[in-house]
Amino acid sequence: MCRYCVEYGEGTKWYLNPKNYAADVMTVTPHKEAIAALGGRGKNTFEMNIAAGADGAVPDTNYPDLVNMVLENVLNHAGQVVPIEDALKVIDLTFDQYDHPWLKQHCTCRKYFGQKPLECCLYTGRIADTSSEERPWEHDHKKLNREQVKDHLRHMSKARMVHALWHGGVQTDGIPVLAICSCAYPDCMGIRAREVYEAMNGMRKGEYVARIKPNKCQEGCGKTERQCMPFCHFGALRYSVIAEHVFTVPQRCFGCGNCRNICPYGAVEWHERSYFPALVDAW
Amino acid sequence: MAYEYSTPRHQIIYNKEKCGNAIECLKCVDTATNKVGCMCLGWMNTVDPDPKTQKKWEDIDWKIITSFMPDCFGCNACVEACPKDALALQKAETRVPAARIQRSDIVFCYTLKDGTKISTRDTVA
Repeated sequence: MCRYCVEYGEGTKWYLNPKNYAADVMTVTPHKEAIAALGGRGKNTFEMNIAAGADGAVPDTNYPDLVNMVLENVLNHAGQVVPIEDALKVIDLTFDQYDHPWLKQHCTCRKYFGQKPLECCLYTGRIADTSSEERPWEHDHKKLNREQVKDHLRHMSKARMVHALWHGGVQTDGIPVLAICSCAYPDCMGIRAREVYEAMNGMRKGEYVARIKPNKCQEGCGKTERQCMPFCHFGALRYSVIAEHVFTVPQRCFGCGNCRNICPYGAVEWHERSYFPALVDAW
Repeated sequence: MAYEYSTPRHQIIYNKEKCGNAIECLKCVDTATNKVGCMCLGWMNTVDPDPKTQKKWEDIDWKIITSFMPDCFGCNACVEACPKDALALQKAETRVPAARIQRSDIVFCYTLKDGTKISTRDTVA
């Protein structure tokens, strides 16, 4: 259970606590500023400024702590990886609390670094209210109802994307989810920051970890196709030429669920992060 | 002895006047991301746009940003892709790796070729 869950979860995960989705939580600082930024004309500046300043912020890539110290002063907007089933639960919670469509639009990183601008970013209804008026040059906005959003997320999960929840900062009354993205290494700035620059402030690991059962893996495709391996965005799947099966590296697992979702042989066990006590502080 | 160290990296010098409005071209970004695969370059607006007067992507003024230059290995493809000569590669000075002290409780005495002594303890000569 992460720190957010302890403080804001009230017995469950923070993003499964209905209180975090209350309408009045969205109206306080910093959430209302984040909503205004994401739903406003300055959205691109809000998101791309981080990338624009990245080269200056990375003084010595050999010491990630320096990178993190700089980012601590720059970033409040942060996120957490979730598996598909939790992303779907979040959608249900938002529709149950305030029956309001989600806005689907292009991914900032992918558009502005020249990748295929897949329309895969989802923003909560409150951001959907102002976006189209404030950013008329963007023609890819689409409001989705509950079933459409869930279908979209399932489709992204089948494409082996990583789902992450994003918020705009932490405040005593709660942390509302403002966005759900579905992205991939190395396009995603969140994943890239973690994997390439070891920058912790940004995307956090999820509440679960995977574990591969050696014998099931070997009975399956562990000695042949090893189907799961290309789909770990975080380098948490390793193959041993001696043991002849795939290993998970618990310290690197973000709990995205891709390996579990793809393994046709049931070789991937799925656990709460606390199953490995040593991971309690590993986020 | 303390080393002032920062990771050396190649730099791309961007000339906005020569480029103009980056959205009209974006060949450098496309080359870096989709052909070379380095993803060092991106693009973004110069100021927050005004929805009352700017209705299309092209109405907004865009610039190139150099974001992930530690990944640059100086292939010059982005510079060559630019039809307006708006990019220039400034190569980094490569240098010898720094001597790194990993543990402060063990005295590491390094003597470099030029006689410089590196030690964690002040009292060691």
